[in-house]
Amino acid sequence: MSQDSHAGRAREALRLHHDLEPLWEAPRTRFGFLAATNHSTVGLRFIATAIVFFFIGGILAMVIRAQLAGANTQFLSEHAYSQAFTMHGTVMMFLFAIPLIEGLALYMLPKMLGSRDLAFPRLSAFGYWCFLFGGTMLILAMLAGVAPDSGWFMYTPLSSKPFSPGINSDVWLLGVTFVEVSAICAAVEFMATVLKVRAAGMSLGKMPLLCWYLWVTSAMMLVGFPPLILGSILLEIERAFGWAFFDPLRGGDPLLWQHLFWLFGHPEVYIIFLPAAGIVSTVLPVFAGRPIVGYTWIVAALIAQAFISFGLWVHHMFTTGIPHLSLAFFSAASLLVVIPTSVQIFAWIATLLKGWPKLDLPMLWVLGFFFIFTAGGLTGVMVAVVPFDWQVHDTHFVVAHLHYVLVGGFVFPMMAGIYYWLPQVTGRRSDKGLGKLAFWLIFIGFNVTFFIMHLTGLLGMPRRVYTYPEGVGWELPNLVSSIGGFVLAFGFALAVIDIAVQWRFAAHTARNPWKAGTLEWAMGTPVPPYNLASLPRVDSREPLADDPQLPASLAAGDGYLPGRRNDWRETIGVDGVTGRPEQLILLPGPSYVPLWTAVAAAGFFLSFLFSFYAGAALSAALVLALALTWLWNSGLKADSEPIDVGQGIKLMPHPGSPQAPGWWGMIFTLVANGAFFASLVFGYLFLWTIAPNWPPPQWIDPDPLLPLAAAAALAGGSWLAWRARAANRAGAAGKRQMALLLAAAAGVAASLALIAVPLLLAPSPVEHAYGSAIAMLSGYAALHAFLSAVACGFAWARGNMGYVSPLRSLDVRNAELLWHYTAATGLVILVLVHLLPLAAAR
Amino acid sequence: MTGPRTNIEALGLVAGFGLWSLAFVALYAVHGYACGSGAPPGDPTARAAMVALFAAFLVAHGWLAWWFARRWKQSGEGPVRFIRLASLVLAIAAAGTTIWTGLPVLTLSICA
Repeated sequence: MSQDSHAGRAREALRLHHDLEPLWEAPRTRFGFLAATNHSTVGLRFIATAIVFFFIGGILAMVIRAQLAGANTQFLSEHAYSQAFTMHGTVMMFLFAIPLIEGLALYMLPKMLGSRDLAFPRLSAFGYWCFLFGGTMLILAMLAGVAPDSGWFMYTPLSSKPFSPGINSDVWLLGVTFVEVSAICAAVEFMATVLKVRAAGMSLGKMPLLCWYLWVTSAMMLVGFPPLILGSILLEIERAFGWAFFDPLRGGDPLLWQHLFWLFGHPEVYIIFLPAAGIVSTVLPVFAGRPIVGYTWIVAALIAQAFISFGLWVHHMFTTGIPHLSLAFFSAASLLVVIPTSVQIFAWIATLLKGWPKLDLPMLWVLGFFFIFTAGGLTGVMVAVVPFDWQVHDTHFVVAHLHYVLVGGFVFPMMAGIYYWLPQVTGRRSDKGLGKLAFWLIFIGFNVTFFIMHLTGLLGMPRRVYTYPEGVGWELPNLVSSIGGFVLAFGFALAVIDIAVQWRFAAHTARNPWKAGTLEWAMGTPVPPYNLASLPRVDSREPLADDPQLPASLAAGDGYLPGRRNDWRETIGVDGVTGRPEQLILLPGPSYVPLWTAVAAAGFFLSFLFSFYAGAALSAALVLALALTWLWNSGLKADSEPIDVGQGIKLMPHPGSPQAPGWWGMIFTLVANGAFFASLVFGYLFLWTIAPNWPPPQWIDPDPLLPLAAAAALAGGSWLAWRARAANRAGAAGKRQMALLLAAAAGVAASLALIAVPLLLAPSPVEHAYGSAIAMLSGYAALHAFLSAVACGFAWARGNMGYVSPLRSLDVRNAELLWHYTAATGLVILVLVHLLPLAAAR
Repeated sequence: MTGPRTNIEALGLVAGFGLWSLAFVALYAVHGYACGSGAPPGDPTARAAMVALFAAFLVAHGWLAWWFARRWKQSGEGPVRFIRLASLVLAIAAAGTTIWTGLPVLTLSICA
């Protein structure tokens, strides 16, 4: 290519940059940064905030180690120590690990998938504010001396009102639930994005492995987090209103909390591990100089691992008196999960053996991961064996094991990822001097701290005791652990200094310094807010390896969607499996609404915390109103013809596509909701069959009028919503609007009937867990009937404004889908509440 | 092949282990229900029910693996082939997982 031609293409690239940058960045006003929805900005905010929380958690760890360094230490009181270890675990799990994964996925997914943003940018921003406000709530409570103090898994009855009368437990239940809202938002966002918002041609089999890992992790979050959210809601209601889910004297059962917590808690370990393993699968082949060995096997292994990880939850409950055969199921699953993990490890080893590995800084962290995580995996096999677990349960052996798994399986790969992608974020060269020293301090400090802690546990030291007497043999191992802990902390401080120095002072680097093959390296550095000036067509797993000139040609506008049209934020939507271009996705711009919605949500959680229930109700109404405002202007007011996206392809704008991301967003939201519902039904049946003090003193009134009315309204609403969709498809706008109005009315009627059930027919929720469970189930059904009514009313109003047509049918289809879900779950609830007692009475 | 049909292909990725999840939860639930209802240790009725359930799930796993094998053989080159191969691998792995996690039903005491 001639010099003139080069200069011409460079000018074109610059023109495109000036065209696109103002469109995709946050407003350049005083408070414009608060309206940012761009995935790079929000992703980096998640990462930075998570790292701040990591250091708060780290300081708490230092406090714990200072307290345990010697016998009879009086550095902390018993109460302060309880707050310290509870907050350490809570911060590290909920405010550091999960949000860091969310930040990584937010930042990285669109770049690796070759798109310009995520499917729902405002949802990402909302999720960030929820995370920030929820986390801040927990930290402020700690500074005020009212932090949670019942351990990070909040076992009842210790966390129940009689044994934890202050607001400490409420802070945990409400703060963590607030943060979990953020996680569910992120999971829905990532599920829809990976499925629909990819580069043209990127079939599932060509998708970068990290995206597979993040996709599977998101699916696990959708199913894994709702049990904890449910448990937290139940415990908070019990604490606030005196209901009886976990009180054995009134037909509740503390084991229900353990089940709900560990239904979340064990998959959580893999939710943390899998993205980190994804980083290893990304970084390792680059430094081995060859593609990963066994791509298909790795994909299969991580899906298998995700499933099996849900079959392990009872291995945290081996000492609760569950019958041996049941323990054997979980012991067998706990041993089996080693196999998919091993498939990945052997694929990594094979990749190293078949390549020419270079020991750069990211690889050093990967090797550290191998060593520490494998050790943690081996002790995991040990505690998966029931008799051994009985011996070491609740000792420091378990503390050592979980740190080997979580720090080895998460922090080390994350550090590898940070050092690997740092040049991509900063545009500066990686310098390994200080970073290497930090690695060795962390590696040595970690092993000194936690290896010997296995021994402390085997010597019988229980976890969560604030001090211990002299002469029991625990002084020396504890002192060694404390010294190691401070070395570890020093190493992390050094790593932060190293990263800051590199960010600010390192020499500028060329694009793609590691010679990687995935698309995030096709972008300019620092990355522009639109990612790519034009979007690629992908024909292999490593497009940059196939065509090293791809970055330049995309920057010059040779791909899809070059330039700016109608001030639309455009990206391409594809068929989920094949990657065939399918729709033109028009993304929303910056908005303050996510922030205000999160502020209203914060109002709800804070009002509940301080027992100001009218304020909580008002805040909830405000959240709903803001959410509707948020969605009000989405879509187009007129049908559109397919639009030229370049390369001779025309695509329909997403409001006219049956596979629009919003449709998938609704499906994935209902998957999470379904997991919540299944947990609720499990809780009801568990109490019924296992809890003490059953049967209850009084069953529900068998009067059939109300349940039949509710059932008729539920079935009728569902049918009317289906009719609304059918009318819309047939172009009968009048019939559609009428059916939507009637479906909304049916939702209100069903909601009222379902609310009346616990008020008029059921025994008091305060007297026995039976009444509590009925009120909870009926409340769930009533809330969904109300939401279905709102969805139909909203679709009706948008229909009046011209946002709905036979082609642009998303509002109607989503309302219909929600109605079917509401009717199905509502009818199941009616059977459980009204027919099960009749069967039991016989 | 695009759109809803390929989305159904993607569901193949979760079919095998979805079935394992059902088997696992069903066996655990039946055992929990039997013990919660006061079945004595070693109750032969409870064991018979669990063994029957275990066998039924094994048959279902066998059928699923056979079905995915057939689908995989029928697929030509293209993006769907990868999904079908992965679905087959997962269906076989899930069958093995059900055998391994369900084996205690044959050997250990009920409700002990």
